[in-house]
Amino acid sequence: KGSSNIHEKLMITDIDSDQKDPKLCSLYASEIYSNLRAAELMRRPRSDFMETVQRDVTQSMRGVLVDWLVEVCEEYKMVPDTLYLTVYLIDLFLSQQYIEQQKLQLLGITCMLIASKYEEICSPSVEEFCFITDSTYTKSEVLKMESLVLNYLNFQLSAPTAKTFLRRFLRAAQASSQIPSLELEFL
Amino acid sequence: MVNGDKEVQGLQLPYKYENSLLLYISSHNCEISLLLFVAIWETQNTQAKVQINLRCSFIGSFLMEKYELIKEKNKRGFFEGRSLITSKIVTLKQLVVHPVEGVPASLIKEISLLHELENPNVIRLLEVVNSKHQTTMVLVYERMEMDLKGFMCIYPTVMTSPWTRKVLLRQILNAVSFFHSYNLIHGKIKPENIFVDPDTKVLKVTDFIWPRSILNQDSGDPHEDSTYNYMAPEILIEQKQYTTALDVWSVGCVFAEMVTKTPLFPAKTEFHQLLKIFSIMGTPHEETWPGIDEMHPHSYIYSRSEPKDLRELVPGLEPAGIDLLNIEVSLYDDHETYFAKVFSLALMPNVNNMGIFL
Repeated sequence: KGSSNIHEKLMITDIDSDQKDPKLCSLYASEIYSNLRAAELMRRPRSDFMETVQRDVTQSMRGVLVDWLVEVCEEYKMVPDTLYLTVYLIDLFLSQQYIEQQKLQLLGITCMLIASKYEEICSPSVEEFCFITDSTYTKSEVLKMESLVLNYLNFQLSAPTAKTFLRRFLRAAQASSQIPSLELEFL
Repeated sequence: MVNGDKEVQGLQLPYKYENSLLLYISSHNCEISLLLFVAIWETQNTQAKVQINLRCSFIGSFLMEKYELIKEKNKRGFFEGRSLITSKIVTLKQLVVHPVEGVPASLIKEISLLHELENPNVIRLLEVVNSKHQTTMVLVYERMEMDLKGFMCIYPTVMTSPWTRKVLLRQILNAVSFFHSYNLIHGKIKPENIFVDPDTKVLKVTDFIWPRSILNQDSGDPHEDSTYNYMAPEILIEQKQYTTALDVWSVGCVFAEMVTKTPLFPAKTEFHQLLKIFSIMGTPHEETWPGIDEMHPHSYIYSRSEPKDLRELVPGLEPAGIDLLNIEVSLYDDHETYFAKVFSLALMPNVNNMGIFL
């Protein structure tokens, strides 16, 4: 009751007041998001890894890689969450471990493989991931990289990404559910 | 013996496994060593007949530096072991990494979730041991003493006490509402996935293959499980969107089973499961479950039945328990059904003051 009074005084709509729709999960919403925010703070990639950790890879290379991964994601019709998680995993790995320029794409598809295993109902096979690199890397290279990445990250993959919070912000902005993906396009 | 051409280096008989012997054969040129369960059936004559059970389990020799095996726990690949460093009893689960597809998706999910979830009523993953060539992985959990199913069989008298049932139920709800606050639906709450320490009554929920995000439900398929008895009707009628009510339903089923020792809705197939549920809770129609006709257009095939009185089906449960159960396993209800949290907070506040851990 206390919180609803505050909401009334400040003329703010309590976005968790709709307790009828179970999908919005209003009773847990504030708890869920505070847990997510805590998780976000705890496992955040360094912001300066390009300058401090990496010597061979540059910002623009990362940019090209991410652009390419967006295309791969669309090609295999993966959910956007996979893409966001992939980029997060790449950044997290790059903030811990030096990597050569030639291996950056390998890191990219491996992170996408891991992210798709985590997020997708049916993830593309390792072979498909190799194929999309024009067979630059072999299956065994990808598998080796997979266990390397998993061990470096200590299997901690469940991290909130920008996409996770976007849903809540959209709701706070009272966006209509009829046109939800327009905002997502800009991210 | 092992592939014929591989030389068996050592043959030890260190472990006794109930009525069978556990042979531990290690071989230097293969990374994994082989454990054979050799069941020995004593015959009337002096000669013992030896039959090699083909259900062999591979346990990495890399593990032997840190843990020693005590026994096989169940057929799902769980072992009980002891840490050589802390001498604590642990539960080990061995998984083989797929040679083509790498680390299985379910494993990636389970490990990363278990790293995040820290709760007294959720099983803790102590470490993941990798073999040198990444061919096998062993997950080391804290000790899982006995699952709820076994607990109910072995200690039937303990379970008749309402206090024990309350303590256990409270802990299940605590775990479930904890998942929900982490944006997860567990989806597979059943007695086989709940472990109890017989002495302290501390309860741990396990099995994290299924969980998915509440707010984003693009992933996962719940139909891979063979036990339908604890499955909520909305899964059975293949609703696409799931809510936290799903877990609350399963908790209700487990709760009833704690009282009666048999599943509330026993059935063998998905179809029979729905029949069973409807025969007890009443066949739903638009008035009792708004939207059911649209979700399940074939619901007319079920014979119309009226809801039965749970007091007769679950004898021995006090009225407050019946009320609770009625809400938990209601086919459709107001929003309160969805929140294990509501139950775990409102329920039995006195349990907390009885010297128990929560």
